[in-house]
Amino acid sequence: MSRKPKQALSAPIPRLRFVALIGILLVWVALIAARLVWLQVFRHSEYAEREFRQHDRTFQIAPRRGMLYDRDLQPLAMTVLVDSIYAVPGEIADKDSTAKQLARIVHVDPSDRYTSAKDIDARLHRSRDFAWVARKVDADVAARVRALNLKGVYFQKEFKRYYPDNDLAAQVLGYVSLDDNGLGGIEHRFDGALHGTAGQMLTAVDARRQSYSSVEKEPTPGENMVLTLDAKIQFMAEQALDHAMARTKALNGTVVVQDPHTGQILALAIRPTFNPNDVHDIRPAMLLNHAVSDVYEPGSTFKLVPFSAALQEKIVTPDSMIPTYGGQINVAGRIVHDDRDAMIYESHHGNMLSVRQALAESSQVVAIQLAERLGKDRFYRYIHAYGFGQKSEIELPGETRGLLKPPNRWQATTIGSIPMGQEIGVTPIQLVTLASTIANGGVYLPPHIVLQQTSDQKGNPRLAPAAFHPEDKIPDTLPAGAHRVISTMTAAEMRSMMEGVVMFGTGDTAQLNGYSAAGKTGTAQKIDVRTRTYSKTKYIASFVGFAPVNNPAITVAVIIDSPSVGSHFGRAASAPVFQELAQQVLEYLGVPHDMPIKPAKLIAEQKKTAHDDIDGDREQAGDLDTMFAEVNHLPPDDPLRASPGKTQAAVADADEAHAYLQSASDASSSMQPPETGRAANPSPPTGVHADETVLARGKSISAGQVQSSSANSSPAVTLGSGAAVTMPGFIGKPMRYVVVTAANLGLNVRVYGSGVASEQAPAAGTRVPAGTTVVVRFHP
Amino acid sequence: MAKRVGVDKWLFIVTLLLVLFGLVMVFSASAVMAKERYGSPYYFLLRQSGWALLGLLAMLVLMRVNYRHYNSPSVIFPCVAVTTLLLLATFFLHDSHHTHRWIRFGPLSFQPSEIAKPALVLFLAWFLQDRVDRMQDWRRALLPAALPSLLFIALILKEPDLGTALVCAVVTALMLYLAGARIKYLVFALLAASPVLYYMLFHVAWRRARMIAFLDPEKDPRGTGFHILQSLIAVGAGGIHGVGLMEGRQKLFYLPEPQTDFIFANIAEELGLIGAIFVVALFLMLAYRGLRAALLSTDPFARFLAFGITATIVIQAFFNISVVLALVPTKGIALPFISAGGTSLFFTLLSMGVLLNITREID
Repeated sequence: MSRKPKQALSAPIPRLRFVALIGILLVWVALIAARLVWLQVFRHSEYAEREFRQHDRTFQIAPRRGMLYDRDLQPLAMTVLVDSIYAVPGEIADKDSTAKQLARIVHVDPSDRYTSAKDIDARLHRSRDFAWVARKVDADVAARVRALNLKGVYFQKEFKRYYPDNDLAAQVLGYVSLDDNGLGGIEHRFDGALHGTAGQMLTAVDARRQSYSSVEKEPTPGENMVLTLDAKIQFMAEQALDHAMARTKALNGTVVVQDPHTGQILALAIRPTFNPNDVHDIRPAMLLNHAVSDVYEPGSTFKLVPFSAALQEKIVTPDSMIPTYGGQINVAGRIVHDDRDAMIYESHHGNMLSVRQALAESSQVVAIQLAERLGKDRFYRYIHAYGFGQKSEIELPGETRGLLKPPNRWQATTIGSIPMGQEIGVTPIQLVTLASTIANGGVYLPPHIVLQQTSDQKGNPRLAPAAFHPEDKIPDTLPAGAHRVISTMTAAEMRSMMEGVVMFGTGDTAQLNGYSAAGKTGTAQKIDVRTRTYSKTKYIASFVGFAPVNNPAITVAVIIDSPSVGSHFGRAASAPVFQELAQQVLEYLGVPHDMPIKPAKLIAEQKKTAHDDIDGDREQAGDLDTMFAEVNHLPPDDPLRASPGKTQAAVADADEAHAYLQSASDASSSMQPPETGRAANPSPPTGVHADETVLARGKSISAGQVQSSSANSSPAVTLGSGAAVTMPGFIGKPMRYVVVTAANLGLNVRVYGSGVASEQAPAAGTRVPAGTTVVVRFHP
Repeated sequence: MAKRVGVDKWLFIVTLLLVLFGLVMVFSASAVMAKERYGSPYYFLLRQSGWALLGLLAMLVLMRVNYRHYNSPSVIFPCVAVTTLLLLATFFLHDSHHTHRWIRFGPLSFQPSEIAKPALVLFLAWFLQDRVDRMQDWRRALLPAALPSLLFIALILKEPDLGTALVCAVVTALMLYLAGARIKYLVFALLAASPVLYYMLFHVAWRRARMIAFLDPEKDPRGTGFHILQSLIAVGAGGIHGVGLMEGRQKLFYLPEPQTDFIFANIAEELGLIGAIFVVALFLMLAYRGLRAALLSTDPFARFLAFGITATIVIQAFFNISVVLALVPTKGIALPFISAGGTSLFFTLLSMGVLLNITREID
């Protein structure tokens, strides 16, 4: 280094330092290059994978599940958009307290562990990126969580299956899981079609969780389906079955209503039941559709087969006299007895019965003789032709073919067992189809429960309502699977003989008022699984019949399994269900009367004698009377009596009226919000609601409205807060008139009893909002 | 007087390449964000192009202005004074994001700290040119040399703009070192500065977190480690060939400031190792030609000036790249020529004009 100032001007920068700096620079560049190679070559795949993970998410876009309609296009199952709540745990500082805060709101159902604070907390700790808090919550729950404004808690719209009528036809419809998989019933059987095809969205997500690009495949919505069910008849069937269940305390019960001229199922009710809206409470046993999956020994109802076959084969005529041998017959060493009542009847007739009388008294001895005269092969052919031992191919899952051995495997005593409905297993669907075959003039029509499917117009429901109008003949061209079993002549003879069963025989408790009816009772001993012998205490009481006799509008099968209160016989346990249901349905359908209408007093007396072991209706009637008295004798200044014009007031008033009605009936079912619904009390205690049938519900239940119905308001009121209507006078009018008039006005009807309308609430002339439920009581 | 041979073509080409490359990358990095924030994907590209044009014009002019014109107190002192005033002015003008880095004129805005760097270099070159042999006299050489630097650094720190302050400090230290200052003094200065440094770097909680994050970004990948981890993911995902120009995805709100401080991560992702090495090579080339000018220049003022300009640019570049690669903690240092930012680009080009003029006298 120079110390001479003169040289300073040209003094070079110290080279050593310069070189040192260049050295440092080169080392630095080398470090950078090495780092680049390390990151971009050696760890490339790892980082590329990480980048992909944080950007690209393949989303499945859930398709909207298809609707299920009844034949009038009243929705039975619909899909609504609801909020699901999820969290990004990485954004939540205090997970424990957040979980507690959330659970306080979303943990609505104490039995549902999924939404408990503990489980939410556990999920929050499991993942950093995503954790469900609660799936498909009610609107008010979502609103309350939203109001908390918690960091890291988000909402996503999801489709939720919603059953507007709760447990109505639950076993037919089935339900869907949280992930939109159909479980049970039509939902399961047609899961593929109803579900639709999920869309695919390859979304890249930026750091703010906004998607910025997507390759989309639009989801295809599920097909809509129209069932053959008539929701109103279904209501009636469920109501009648509920009464029977309450009366008999049976294990389970099945009611099937069929259109005999098409084979379409109009109603299919099973008890016990469930509410498909409450997924948590559903146990597999509840899903069983006993109508197709239960095989039971039909007992005497099966006698229709040997009797009709013998008539068809001209072995006998309805008036042929058959010996009864003192009420017992030896079949290959096994002695079969007629029951006591039949034996007494037979002894009065000199141990000879006409075929007609034999069916009316359900004589085993005669049935066996007819089968023996047919011979096992011919008898088998008829059994088979009626559809037994084969699946009906009805559009329901879990159908069984029943139990029917081919003749070459029959034992010597079998020819004596099958005619009386033993050693053969049938399903309720097979049984109702047997009765329909006789009812429609002898043609087996395979049962169906699906009417239309929008298979070629996916997501574009161009469905036409197909209201049920009773036919008077079978279709000119028989549908696939249909075949004639017996001639129209034989069928007519059978119908008249079955009418005898109801008029004079074991089915007298099935008699209708103003309509002729035909049917057959049956009481089968259940096979004790433990001892493999017939149970002495467990019975299945059944009744199958149709009405009116000459041109049947409906066929009904009633099977009550193990009634434990009152008589176990089909006459007492099942036939009254037919009586109640058929009466109501025929009046609803407006089928013209073909019999003189008996005065109410006579009916009451008959009922009293016939139903000695059946009561309970009386108490309900008492409650009803009180309720009507309270509602219809309102003080003159009561808002319910508001004069026309005060529309606004009337809307509020109707609310009050509902509250009033609600307090009048200690427990209300249809007034409860859809979330809880009727399944909450499957076997209702005596109360007004046990009698009610909701008819002509508002058909335009939209998702928003459904959600807006909070715990304290009746859906009936929230639905129709629009136009006000003047309540028409229903007193003295037939049920058909009431139902049609109310539907046209947009009113809901709750129907009690049958006959003509005797009382109504709110009173005629009241201004009420559309959608109000009018309660109408009918008396014979 | 040395003979005139024309500007260093390499340096000129490298500069043009860096500017053009920068414009392309600014567009690629900012298009999506600009579209979302300003409604036009070209927002940043247009602004940057305007500044680039302006800067290149200024460079072409300064290329032809003899650098000796600056070698006079009548240029140096006003320059230092104006810079000081501008730095002070930021504190009395509107703040953005609680910082005082900007001075705005209507739609235009510029950062006085960008002027501070060339001003400091100019001052040091002027001051050091005839004191190379007197650097042991710390009271009469070292301290007066360091004073304007300390003033600038203090003001810039106050803005606060840690990155620029750091660059100023390092450039000052390097120039003093090169002028022959004893390493002992420089170490003393570092020790004296360390409490301030510590206070600046670790006292504020979020800065401390950022400091530590670069050591182990995986520790808090969603918090303090997020930016640096996303930067590493971008670089790593680029691989050798890159994902393709405009195809980068880390810039979509994962990378912090993809068009400014982390533009190198976007380059590495989209153009891969090849693109990244290309950028490093351009700066290395710039360093080589700049230092060569400093070494071969016969005028001491030119030497210090060339060294200071080169050092400022190269240090910023490699600091920026090192931050992106998590070699050093996160600092707000832009990548010269390439990062979006008009003031930086303009004054960098201005400095290049001066440097290019110096190269005219070298063969």
